[in-house]
Amino acid sequence: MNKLTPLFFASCAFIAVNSLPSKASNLTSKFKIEVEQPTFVLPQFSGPYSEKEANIAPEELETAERLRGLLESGDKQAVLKELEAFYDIELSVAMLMLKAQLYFALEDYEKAEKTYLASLARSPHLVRAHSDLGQLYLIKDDQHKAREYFAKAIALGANDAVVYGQLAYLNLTLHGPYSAINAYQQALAIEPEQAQWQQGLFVALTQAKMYQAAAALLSELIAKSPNDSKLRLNQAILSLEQNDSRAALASLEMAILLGDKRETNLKTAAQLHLQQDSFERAVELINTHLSQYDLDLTSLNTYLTWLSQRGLWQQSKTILASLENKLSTFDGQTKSVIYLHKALLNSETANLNAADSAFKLALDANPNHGQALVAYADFLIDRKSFTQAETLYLRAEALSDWQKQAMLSRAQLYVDIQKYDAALTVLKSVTSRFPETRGISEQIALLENIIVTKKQQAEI
Amino acid sequence: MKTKMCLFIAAISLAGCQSTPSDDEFVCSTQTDWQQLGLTTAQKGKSVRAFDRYKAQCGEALPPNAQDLYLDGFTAGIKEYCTYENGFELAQKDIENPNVCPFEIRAEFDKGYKIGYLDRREKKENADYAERELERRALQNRNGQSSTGQ
Repeated sequence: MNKLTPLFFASCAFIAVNSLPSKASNLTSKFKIEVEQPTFVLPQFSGPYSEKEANIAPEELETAERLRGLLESGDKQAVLKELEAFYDIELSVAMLMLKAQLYFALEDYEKAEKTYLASLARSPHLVRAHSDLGQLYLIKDDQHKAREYFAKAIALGANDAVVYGQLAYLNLTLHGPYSAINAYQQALAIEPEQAQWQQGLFVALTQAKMYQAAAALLSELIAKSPNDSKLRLNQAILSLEQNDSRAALASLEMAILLGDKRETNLKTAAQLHLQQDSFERAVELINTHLSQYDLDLTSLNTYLTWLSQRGLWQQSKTILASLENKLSTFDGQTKSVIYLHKALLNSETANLNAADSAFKLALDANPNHGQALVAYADFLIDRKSFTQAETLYLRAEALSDWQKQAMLSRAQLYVDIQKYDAALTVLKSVTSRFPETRGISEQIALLENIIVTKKQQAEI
Repeated sequence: MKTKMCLFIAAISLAGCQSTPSDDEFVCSTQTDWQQLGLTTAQKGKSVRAFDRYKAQCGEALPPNAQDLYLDGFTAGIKEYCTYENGFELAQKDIENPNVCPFEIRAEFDKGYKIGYLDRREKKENADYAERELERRALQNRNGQSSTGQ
């Protein structure tokens, strides 16, 4: 079997959870478990012709025998050269199929497609031509055409696990899990030990929320291969789908123990540990992640945010200290994230001057760091530096991801310093730009009342 | 009058080039309908190898899509040609089987040809027999007359 282009199953489960305090809701990520990405296995070149589908003409027998010899010695180009000496119409469909398969094997997909289509124009019920064309379109990433040809091959009687499996994959991708389950079951019936079909069926059952069936399939597979980390990951996905994060973590830890050290999975395990207050193991996993992989800005920020939200300042400090001597190697954005978390740490531990300096360094390293702008403004408000804080909010409002939060914070700032008219103007602006914002109309009404009351008091 | 005649002939020739040229005509024009040419070649039961001659004739002037178009037309035409009736008719006319039919549609044509051949052979045998019978009777008559006269 030749392994060619890898194609992807929907192999990850994503579940949004509100596992952390509300302040972090915009930062709370999704649990994501990464599993092995199954590959499509293309059938090996199967010889000069398939007698089951198309016969060669009697006058071609001698040539066919000679070509068979060349093919056995691996000289596909020589065979193709001989076949190209004929016009397609002079060849029997069997020989034409051979030509198409050779183009396919030699990755000349345009000619292969044309030749397969020529074969089908002459023999529209050729099962092999339909299934091969399905493969070809899969490689060319034309999933709709691929699906069409695989479905036709099956309708014409193809009883090949690969065809069923690929139809199942395409159905899963294009039409959802229910249309895929039966085809995966067929593929599995033909090749019960093939991991691809097992994985595909599991994914389809899980996506279709047929958890009992998925769990039964998984139990059977785990009983057969208890040390297969991929199966443990599937078990974790299934548990997450059913909102059982404790069981998910147990399976995920088992997968890690069995050797799975994928970045995403380490991160998810750490997140689940934090959620379940097993901080020591969470920090251990975070350190493993940060020491084994290149520093990824999003992960770093997420980890430090999690730790700060849990008040684990010492753990944050340890991680930040471990990055200190590598600081010069990082780009501005990464440096800015590190300085921001240093600032937050210092702010929480009442080292206010150190915090102020770190905020400034964060913004020097990346002047468009929205989180740093808003956090520094919040810090300055506590120190009564309202004008400076206002400027920082205005800068953050220029960044689309932070606009709403910065506007709301600025409105709050105006309320704090009793500039109710300004606060009202900002809130109305938030309403027009973000009409989905909940609770804002009540705030506006409240402000309008305050303003009216103030006016009345002034008149008296 | 002579001039008018020449112009008329030239016009006919040009009209021929714009549609489907006969085998001997120059076909390497952009006006040639290659698909139609392939179709008519096949409908006449000729070999697809006729295209080799066009390739040689046109050389680099052969349009890049000419072969594909020609073969599309030929493939359609050969399906029309390879029928039982055409096989039968060809055999009736005592024309050799051109073996141009693709394998998957050859059976009906060959069957027609075989039956046509047998039918023609039978008819010929019958005709030969009838002729021989006539000759025999004529000979008998001549022999009878001469013996009566003696």
